[in-house]
Amino acid sequence: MSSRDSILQALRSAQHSSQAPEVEHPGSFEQAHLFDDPVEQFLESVKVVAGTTVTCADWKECAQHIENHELFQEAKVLCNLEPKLSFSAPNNGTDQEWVEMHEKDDPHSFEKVDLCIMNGQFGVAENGAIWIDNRFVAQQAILFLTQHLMLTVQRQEIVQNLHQAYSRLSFDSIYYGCFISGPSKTADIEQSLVIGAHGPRSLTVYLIG
Amino acid sequence: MTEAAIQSNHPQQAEAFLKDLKRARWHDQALWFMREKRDKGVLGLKEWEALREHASRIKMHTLSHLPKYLEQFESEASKRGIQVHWAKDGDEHNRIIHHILSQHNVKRVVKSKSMLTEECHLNDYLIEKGMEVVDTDLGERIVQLANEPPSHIVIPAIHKNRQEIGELFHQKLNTPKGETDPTRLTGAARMHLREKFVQADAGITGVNFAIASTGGFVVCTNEGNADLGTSLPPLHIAAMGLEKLVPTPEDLSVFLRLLARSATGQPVTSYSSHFLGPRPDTEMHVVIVDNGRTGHYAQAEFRRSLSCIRCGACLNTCPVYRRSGGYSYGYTIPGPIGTTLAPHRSLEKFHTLPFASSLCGSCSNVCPVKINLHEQILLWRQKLYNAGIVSPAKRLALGGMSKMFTFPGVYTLGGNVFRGVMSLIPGNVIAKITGAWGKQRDLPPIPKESFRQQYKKMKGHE
Repeated sequence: MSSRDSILQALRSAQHSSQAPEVEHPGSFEQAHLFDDPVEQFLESVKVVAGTTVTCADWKECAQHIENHELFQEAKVLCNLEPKLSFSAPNNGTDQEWVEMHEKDDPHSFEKVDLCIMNGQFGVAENGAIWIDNRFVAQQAILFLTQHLMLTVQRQEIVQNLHQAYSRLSFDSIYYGCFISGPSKTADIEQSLVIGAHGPRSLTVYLIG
Repeated sequence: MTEAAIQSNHPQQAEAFLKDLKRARWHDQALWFMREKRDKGVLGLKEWEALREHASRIKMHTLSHLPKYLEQFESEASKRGIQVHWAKDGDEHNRIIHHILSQHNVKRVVKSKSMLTEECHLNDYLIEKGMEVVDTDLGERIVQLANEPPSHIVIPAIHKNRQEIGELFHQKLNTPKGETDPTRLTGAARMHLREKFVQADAGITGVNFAIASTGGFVVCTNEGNADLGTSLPPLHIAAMGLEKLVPTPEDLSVFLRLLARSATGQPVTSYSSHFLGPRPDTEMHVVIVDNGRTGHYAQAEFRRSLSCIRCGACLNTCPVYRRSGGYSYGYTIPGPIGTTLAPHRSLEKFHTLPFASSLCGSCSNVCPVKINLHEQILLWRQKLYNAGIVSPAKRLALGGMSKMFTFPGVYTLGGNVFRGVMSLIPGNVIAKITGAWGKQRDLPPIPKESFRQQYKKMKGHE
């Protein structure tokens, strides 16, 4: 018998012999506390997880803020995955290199990226997490290779908590998705928090609208 | 040093750990700090207790329908192009993974944290076959460079201080002698591991949660190492214990809210990565592993411990773990959860573990999925007694006490004799009689009269 069949058979016979009662699924969790102002809470949560927040009235203001950001000005290799943002690049000096992303790209080609800008789908007030998936980033490696990450989220796209978050998610046509909450971090050496473990050394969240 | 090399003898190992009292105290406080962070994280959530109850029920429901959900997961994952394998034990798990890797001509593997692959000793197996295997979680890389197993399931190098890590990195990663700053040491590891990520031919991860209804699985990290390790090479293999399932994506919301808060007090890990299929032109494999879990599952009274989500909260709160260190358990998973899991492997080998507990119940109180840990530990003690695997001294004491409590006359007489005799014996002799218990404790002063005698007297005064 294959390992598969013997494992399933062992479990089934244990099910019958143990006579443990069947337990009902409890359904959706309905007791979550709701925030009065989820947007405020979202901004607060991003700070708690060591991210930085910037609120902008519109996309134009956001683009201007990014262009004036020292991370943008110091970046040598940049990638913009947010179609609503356009920059007057090359911004200052001619040594800035912009990379584009195509589905067939070798993910290793993004190794030298200093700054990546991407659109988050929505944000979660309780924990500052932002959902991204492969429909908007064909090679997710860039989100972890980049030295710094900037994510945009629209004000009307903030949900209260993870329960609301999953109720709007569908996994039907995606192969990769991630909740990103703050920059990469570790506390594995004597529990001292260090920002920038393997992935981005910083996360800047732009709230639009 | 592998698990097999350590004979599990908790009191002996704990004694060795406690020789350096200063370090033991430091370890105790470091873990308590984790517990305090957890408390702060939990206090922020008014619905915490309801959420724990909900999670517990989802897990119990899933376990009671486990074969059905496993089949559903297999079928949905296959539809997504994920190749599913089944391994009855650690050896088969290692062989399957090695086979996939060699089919792809893999020389270099990067791994993110997986206690299951620790349990199966995958690294040793692959390294022996000539592959380079690099653990990429910082704590795991530290213990790998030191040739040690993890001593904690969330913070693997918690037993090492910054001076030791600095010296280790100086020797292995060429950092300046005397460098002990965590930021600079982490920076050095980042550079070293970045190179490994870029060169890797394959990435191996564990699985935090597998989703039955859609296929796919979730891996949670703070460092981003699971994502870097799997988004660059063309091959991703995930090792998954067969108990890791949740029925639907909606259920993930409950567990992701509990996991990081219980582990470190964070509202969620930096990355909750959903691997739902291979990237174009790459392969994704999941190996579902039994390795003793079906036997565990068959014991209904212990089944709930298969709900564990490996947050580590029970380790951090445990007065015994904090004061004896992860290695004292001699099992891949230490602390209260390890104590309940290890005897399923071998009651004989791990017979000291169920006694490595004060039965205070703190573990059960912090457990995000409400596993009745201390009750299971007590159950193991009963099993050990019934199987005749307790030390003669313990057996005699327990047997004697059982008789004494059954006959009130014997109890009264015993008490009188005990009080008389104990007052005559010098303290250092008593310490010998009380064994491990008496090593750092004195007996309280022996009262002159029994409670009943005192009660009678007081009643007479009324």
